Amino acid sequence: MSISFNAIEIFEIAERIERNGVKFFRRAAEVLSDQDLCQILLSLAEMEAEHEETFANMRKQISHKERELITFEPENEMTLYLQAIANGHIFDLKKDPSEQLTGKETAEDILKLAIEAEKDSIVLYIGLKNFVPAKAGKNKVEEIIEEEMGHIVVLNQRLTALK
Amino acid sequence: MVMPFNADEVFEMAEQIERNGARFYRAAAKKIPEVSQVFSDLAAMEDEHEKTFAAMRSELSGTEVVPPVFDPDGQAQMYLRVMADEHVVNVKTDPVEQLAGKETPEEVLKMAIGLEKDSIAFYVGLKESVSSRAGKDKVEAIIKEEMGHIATLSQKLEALK
Repeated sequence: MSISFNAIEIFEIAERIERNGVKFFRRAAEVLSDQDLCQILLSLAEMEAEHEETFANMRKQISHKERELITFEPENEMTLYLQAIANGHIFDLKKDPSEQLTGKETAEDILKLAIEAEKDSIVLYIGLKNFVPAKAGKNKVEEIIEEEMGHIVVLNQRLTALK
Repeated sequence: MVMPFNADEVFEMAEQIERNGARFYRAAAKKIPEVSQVFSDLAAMEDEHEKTFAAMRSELSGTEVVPPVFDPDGQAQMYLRVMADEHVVNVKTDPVEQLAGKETPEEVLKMAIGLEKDSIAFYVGLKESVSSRAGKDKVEAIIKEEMGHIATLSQKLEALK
């Protein structure tokens, strides 16, 4: 099987996931009336915006001097996993998640959608982490994974508090 | 401070995820002849994962899952506890019940990818929470195999086009 994606594309997908997250959280904050929850969602939006910037910076760096460090072996399961992501079967990035919100959602609906989106980002970044060399910022990807794990914790706490 | 998981609790959940996955693949293999062999192979791999987790559980039974890494806020533990919540990864619902029998191969493959994603999200927390001695590398190997399953399912989806 030939490889039909490159490291830049995978970073672009990560950036798109973060951008979608920002839009989703901001739109959700408009839809909900619970001000306390809105503040939490807006602060998550800010963190996602920073993640997007981090990934964009990593992509730019890689395009200049680190690209040669990243090699994909055909038939390697990690390569095939990233190929699956690049093929668009794992995350539907074309749909803007903020457009899914009609304005009639409850806080519970929104929190559940947000948890799903955070899970998706973790699943992508675990694959991303595997091919980013330490020199190119593997630890930054790890930090972002930990932050997304933290987001799931916060979102679930709010979900539990609704009951 | 979050109450630490004990090993029995957490590995039982991992085993349940694998049992659910194997059941789902076996049911899907019967319903979708086009990908029957792939689903049967994946079911057999999930059986192996279940055995691995069961062996880890019996080895660690009665102990706390001790964070091997610096985890001052107990974040890895907290994440694991949240992942075990039914809102996040619902192991109590049998995924086979989601198969009404009228699904297209594409729909079944997408459902399978969703289940694999859930298991990866859970095992990432598990990996952070078990020490190297307790088999961190085994959890890591299972995560990679689940990623491999996603790759296989995705190739099948691509072939349907």
